[in-house]
Amino acid sequence: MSSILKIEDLYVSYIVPVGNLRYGYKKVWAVKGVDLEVPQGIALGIVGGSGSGKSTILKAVLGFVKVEKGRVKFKGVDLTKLRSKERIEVARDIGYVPQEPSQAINPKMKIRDILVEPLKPIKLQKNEIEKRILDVLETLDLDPIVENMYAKELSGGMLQRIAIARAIITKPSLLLLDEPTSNLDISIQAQILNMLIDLRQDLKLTYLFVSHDIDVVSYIADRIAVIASGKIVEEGDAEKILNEPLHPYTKTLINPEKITEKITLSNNSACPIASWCSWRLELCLTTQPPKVWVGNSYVVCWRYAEDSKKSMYQ
Amino acid sequence: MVLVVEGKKLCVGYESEETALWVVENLDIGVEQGITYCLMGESGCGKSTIGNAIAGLLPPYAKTGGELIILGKKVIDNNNRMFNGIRGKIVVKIPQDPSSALNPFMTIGGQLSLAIRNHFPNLTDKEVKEKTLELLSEVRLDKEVYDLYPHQLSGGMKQRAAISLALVPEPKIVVADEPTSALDAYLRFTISSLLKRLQKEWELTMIFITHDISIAKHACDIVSVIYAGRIVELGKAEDIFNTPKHPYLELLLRATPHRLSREKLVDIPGIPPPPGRYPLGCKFHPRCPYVFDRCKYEEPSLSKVNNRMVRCWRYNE
Repeated sequence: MSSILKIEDLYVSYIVPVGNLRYGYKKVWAVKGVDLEVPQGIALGIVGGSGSGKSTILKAVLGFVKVEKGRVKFKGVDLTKLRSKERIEVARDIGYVPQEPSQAINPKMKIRDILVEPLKPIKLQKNEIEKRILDVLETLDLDPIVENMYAKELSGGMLQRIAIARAIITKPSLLLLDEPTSNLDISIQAQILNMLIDLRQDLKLTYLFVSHDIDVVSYIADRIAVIASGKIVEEGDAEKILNEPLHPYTKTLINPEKITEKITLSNNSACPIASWCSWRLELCLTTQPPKVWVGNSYVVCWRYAEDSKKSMYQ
Repeated sequence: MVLVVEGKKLCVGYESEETALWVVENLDIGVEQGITYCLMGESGCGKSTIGNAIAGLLPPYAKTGGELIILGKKVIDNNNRMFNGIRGKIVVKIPQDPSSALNPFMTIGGQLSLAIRNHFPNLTDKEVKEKTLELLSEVRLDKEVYDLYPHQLSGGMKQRAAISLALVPEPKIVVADEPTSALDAYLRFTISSLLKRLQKEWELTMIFITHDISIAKHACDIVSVIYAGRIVELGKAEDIFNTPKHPYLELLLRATPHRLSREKLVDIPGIPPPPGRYPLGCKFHPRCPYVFDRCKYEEPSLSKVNNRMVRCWRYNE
């Protein structure tokens, strides 16, 4: 299967103030060497805690942050090397659903204008625009009345549908979803999740889905990547990750009831969980663990690397 | 068992343009000593309003009715609210957003010592500092946090600091208003296990407000499911989550994704009714798949079914 999006060795940093202002600023790496491949037609879910860099990966694909090192290839084109005009052309093929729809939707614009906005650069005929709006509202089970409403008149679930409508109105092939259901109630969350699943089948979309909630990701994703402190620690088919997780961090995510009170992630050690991992080796603190491939999934952990080395000699 | 919090026909509402808008109506609630009592429901169902009523933090424009008794003292009697000596001493509240409880211009240590000095004026400076550090270690924060400001802490650490601040007056009842909702999935469990331990060690009675089913299962003894300002199902956590009786809870559990099952989620049609627009009859009937004629005109009462209380005509013959 050909991959629609390929991220190679991605590094992104933010500049943050240190202590009081007089000490100046320092660079903090949000994403440290992420490789990710999204095959056509698949839903890839990225799971991780807050501050793990999962949203930053999406921002790097969208061009909201500066990519310091690495490549982001969309359909074979390296997005990091494009000029802004060329980028807009490509960006039409990537839809984006933000986490907080009420902040992403202009409160002063009617829903109709919000939906028309992404179509403006395409220069469509008037009746074609009309048709697309009605189509997209119908696919998302929205009453055409909402066209003339403002954001404040709609409920949270409806706003999220509008945000999805705006993302798919340009008929993209890749949809980036940044925690699309984390602010919704459970009953509304189920509506949106079911709708996203139907939408993917009907429109043959590819999803890159980011969430901190492994339950939500497991419902929607075919493949799951687990990220901790800006590094992917395990990636594989959803079934496999959920039923036989390999990395200790994935294991705690899947059984959060067993979490003790103090679990912290560290930016300083080579493996982010080295401070509390019961499997820790000396190497974990100093050297970046290698990828160990098991079938079509991999885990980044010294324990498995050492084990496979041993079995090679035996 | 002794009831620490007892509500009799408790009503709480807010004044709207013409009439009072009742969010909670005729609520009978009884919380036994030393348990974690969970109020679970979706946004706008009135769970925070009940929490604020118990913590004595209703705004002045709120209207109340019925009675609320805390540790034998009548604190709400119709529209009179008498929380002196109770609010902030016996009942404390852990807020949803810890930043709203912390002063951004004071160090964590400074805020804690100030609160300790207010509650225990006889302590010496040394004893105050000792007690502050003790409280920090109680919520598993490092000593270094004493000199840090709230903006230097992460979300989980801020929530811990807010919890330690709530523990200063050595309260009997703690109202935790969605203490985990601002945190990510696995930090939620660290905070809820912290609260669980504190509840046991300090013998607290905890009123835990949440919309998260997995947290309610993890942290609570008794769960009452709230819909449109009413308790629709009440019972032990393991009972009601394993064999839900009320259609709302049943659908809610089937609408929650779980990592180990890929069953299709159930859509609950419609949205929860906002206060003031509650339907006639059973409040859940417009969204209920088992609805019959009686549900539309007559509201069922909360009645005992086996090991729990359910408000539904299907069990209420």
